[in-house]
Amino acid sequence: MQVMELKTTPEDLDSKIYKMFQLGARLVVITGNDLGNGKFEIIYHFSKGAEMTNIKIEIEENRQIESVTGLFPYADIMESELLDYFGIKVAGAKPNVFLEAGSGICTPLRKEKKPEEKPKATERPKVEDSPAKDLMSVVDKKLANKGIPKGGAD
Amino acid sequence: MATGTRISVVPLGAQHPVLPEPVALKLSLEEEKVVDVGITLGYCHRGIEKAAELNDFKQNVFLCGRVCGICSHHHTTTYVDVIETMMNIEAPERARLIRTIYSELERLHSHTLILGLIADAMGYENLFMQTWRDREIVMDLFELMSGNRVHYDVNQIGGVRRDIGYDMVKKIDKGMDALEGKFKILSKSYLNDPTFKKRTKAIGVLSKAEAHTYGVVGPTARGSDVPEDIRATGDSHYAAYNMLHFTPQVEEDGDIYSRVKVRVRECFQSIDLIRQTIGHMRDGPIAVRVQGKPNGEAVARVEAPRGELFYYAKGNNTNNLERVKIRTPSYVNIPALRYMIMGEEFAEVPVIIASIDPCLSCTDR
Repeated sequence: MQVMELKTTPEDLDSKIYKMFQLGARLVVITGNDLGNGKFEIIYHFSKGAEMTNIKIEIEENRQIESVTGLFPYADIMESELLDYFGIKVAGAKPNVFLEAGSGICTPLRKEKKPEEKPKATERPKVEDSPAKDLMSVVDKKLANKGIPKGGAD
Repeated sequence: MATGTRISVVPLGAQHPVLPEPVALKLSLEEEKVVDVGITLGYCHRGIEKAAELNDFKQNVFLCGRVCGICSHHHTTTYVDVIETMMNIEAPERARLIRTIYSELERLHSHTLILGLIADAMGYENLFMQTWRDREIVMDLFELMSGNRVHYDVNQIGGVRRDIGYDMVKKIDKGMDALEGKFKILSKSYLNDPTFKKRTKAIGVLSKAEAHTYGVVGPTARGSDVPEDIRATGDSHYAAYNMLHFTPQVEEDGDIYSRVKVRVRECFQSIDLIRQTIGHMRDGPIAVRVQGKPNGEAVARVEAPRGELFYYAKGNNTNNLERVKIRTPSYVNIPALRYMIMGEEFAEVPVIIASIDPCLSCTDR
């Protein structure tokens, strides 16, 4: 298998991908890579017979990239994966295809993200932080409305 | 869509008796005809790509085998191939031949599994049970060769972990004879049975142009007249396909029947390839010593039973890999399902789904 590596800029990406489309190549997959320091690498792997071509671009964290679904309609799932796993913004990509919305897991393949520390089992939540505090204030208010002073009937 | 027609939405899955694995389909029906399909994935997501970054690169061989229970050997083969390419290691010839035997046996058990499930999806229970009964020959061979029926874990970086002895070779040869005889009888039901043909011909059609547009791979593509087979066209140094003679099996019609026909013929082809491989077996080492740590980038691909399986890996000269990307064949075949189902009757949907041999645990990883 022959593998060609091609580095390009996000501005030039469209023309390079259109060239692959004209050659009749098949888009195998789009790979995202977190390079750290807020930069991401995106690789478009193309296949034509025994040859493979990898087109690479490097982008800043907040930059939105153009979608390739106009030429390769099956790329939508790959672009959704970039969004789900890395938080890379792709025009028109649908979120939460692989990760459930509201599950608390977002952009798991980013490098700098460390797993959150779980509270130790021995630590008890303080009363001031617990929802019971709000409940007590509601009870106190109700009692005050009835003319009963805070802290009990007597 | 004519105005005034009533559309009913029927959910199929995520848990449904016809689906071996969970995927949610939302079918919009106009009377009995499917007019739109929505597919929701992700029910089997286990975060294997992330786990592969946290493990030692040698441990990942076992992790990658766990991506899928049906094509586990192909996953490990692609992973060891990508690392071997990165580290410039070439596995010895005997190891490559052993990998080929496992690969072809796995293709046999995967194809017989899905052929049985296609028969089951259309209510042909008898054919389903007979196919799965004969599949046991392959499963028993796996148990004999590796000690396991599903996850064989024979691959290691630089070769294989278990040799195939002379007695085993004889048993494999005998098993292939038995399977060929039994499968010749079964294939008549798959290819000539009028009921089977009625449920599969001109249904779930994906034309050659559509196969290109939606980028399908494997038997799904070959059933639509796309002669793409990585064993023949791609990189063949992962196994010994460059020493064997075969041509990709192609059908023109693009319907369920074509896909079934391709799989039936590939079963016979796999039996032939195993015999050819056995003929090439010579004594020799089964693994080479691996030194150093992976550095740089590499890609590898393998023809798994469902189609092209692709791995990308990036090393950073440590024991842990920077990134492992897995693209499985069902990842591109499942979205194309939408275009096969649209316009068909509701009753045909289970058979169309089974005909592409979807693997959800592969797709979600």
